[in-house]
Amino acid sequence: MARAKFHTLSEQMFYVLLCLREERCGIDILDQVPAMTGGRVRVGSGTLYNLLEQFLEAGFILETKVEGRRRSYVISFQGQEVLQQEYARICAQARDYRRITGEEEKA
Amino acid sequence: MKMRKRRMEFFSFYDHTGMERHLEQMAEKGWILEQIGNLGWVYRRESPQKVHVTVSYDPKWSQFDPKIEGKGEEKAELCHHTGWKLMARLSQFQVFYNWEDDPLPMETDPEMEVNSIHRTAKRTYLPFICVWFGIAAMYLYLFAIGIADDLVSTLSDTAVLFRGLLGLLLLILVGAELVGYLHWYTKAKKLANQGRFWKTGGKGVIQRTVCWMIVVTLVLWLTDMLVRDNPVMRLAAVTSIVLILYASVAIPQLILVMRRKKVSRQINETVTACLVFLVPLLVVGGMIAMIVGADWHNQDRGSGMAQYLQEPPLNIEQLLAVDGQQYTQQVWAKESPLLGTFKMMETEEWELVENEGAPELTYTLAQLHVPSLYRWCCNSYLEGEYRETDPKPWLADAAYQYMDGDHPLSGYLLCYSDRLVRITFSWKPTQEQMSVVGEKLGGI
Repeated sequence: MARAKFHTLSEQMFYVLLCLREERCGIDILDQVPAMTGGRVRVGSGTLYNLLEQFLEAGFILETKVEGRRRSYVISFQGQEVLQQEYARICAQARDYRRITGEEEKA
Repeated sequence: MKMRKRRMEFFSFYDHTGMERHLEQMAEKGWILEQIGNLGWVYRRESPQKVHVTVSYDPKWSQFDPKIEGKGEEKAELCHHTGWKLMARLSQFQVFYNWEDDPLPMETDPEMEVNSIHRTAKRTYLPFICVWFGIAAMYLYLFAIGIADDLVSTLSDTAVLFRGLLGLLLLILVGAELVGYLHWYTKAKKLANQGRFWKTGGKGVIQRTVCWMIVVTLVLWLTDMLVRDNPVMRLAAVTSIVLILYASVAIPQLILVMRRKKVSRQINETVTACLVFLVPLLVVGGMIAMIVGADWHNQDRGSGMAQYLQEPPLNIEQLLAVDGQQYTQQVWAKESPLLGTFKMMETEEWELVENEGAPELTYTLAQLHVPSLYRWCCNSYLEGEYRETDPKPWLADAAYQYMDGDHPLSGYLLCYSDRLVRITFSWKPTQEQMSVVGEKLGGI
């Protein structure tokens, strides 16, 4: 089923927003996401460019400075809320999983 | 050794994986893309190499931009960081090469990729396709109107036939593109929602074939106009060639020169828009002025059926004892590979008012070159009120007389083996006159 725009975040969206809890430029994000996930998640340059465009349009991030070709961004209050909601959703999923599989009792 | 080559490539707008595969194969043969333009893709020779190619779309980029600015610079920087080098761009469409063995793909989110292509398509490609669809539909509509209104006249007009064919080919091309795009979008979106990319594999066979057919049709059309003994047609052909070259070579070249001279996007767009409208207007205006100035429009008698244009096969003097000097002949001929028509109207000189009520003769002779069209053309002529009459006096295979209700008129349709004659007298013809008509117009 199609995902409504930003109703839930893809893994790449989630980590890009998470990276931007600190002010970072695009190249930093490209390096930071694999570092944060042990190489499990990697964001392609074209995808990141489009993501940053769409996050800016949606008001999830703010452009903080432009230095030559590099632009820096930071997460906005609205973006932080979306990130928080996604985190809560993932936690709820994990809780449900543990409850249903009995892993909660084992723990 | 040839270091550069230009190739006409035919890919659908959305077929990025097809383009990528093609460019990777070209690199393996030692050809690296250098430039994309309206007159083909330019490759430069290098050593054969294995590369990865990504074709990317961005609705914010423009061919009028003097350089990659703002967000575009950021994209180039991000791609460069992951080993992707921008090699060529045209409008909102960019080609990146990567020489690493196993590079991180530029696009890692299929939904993002599909959305990006669709947003770009909505901005440029789809409006462009819709405009061409409108042009093709208009061409076909005019052709259909012509067929319904006067089948014989339409089929004998080469320009109208070429226009109809061009409309049909354009409609096939544009239709294939539109259907292809909708199919791609639906399927790519569905797969993207499952987190999968769709690798299109179109070879553009329909597009390639139809494009070449359009080129051949245009060349034949213009050649036909140039070789005819008709100054109006020749001038129209030369004007068309000038405008085609202007639109396909001069304008894109001008945009490129302004871009290289770092002229701003706004100025480049404004100058281009003005030239796109003004120059064709001036050229066509000049052509009309030349035709009017040389009085070609009044002398224009069409072309084809040359033997009849030189000397009409029948005139009023051959039927009646009248002074031909007091008559004006208006003749018009058209001829296509399907059939030729020759029309003549012979009326009294308008200055000779004392001759008011003098006899007049009008006829159209349709010479069929394709026998299978005979019945169709004959039936189209018989759509009026006709009744069958005796063909023998006319030396014809069949004859029909035009009626006004129950009242017979002096208008006839005469059917001969390979020609149809529609003739109108201002008097009631005698048996002898009928046989003269049969001899002169029946080709007997």
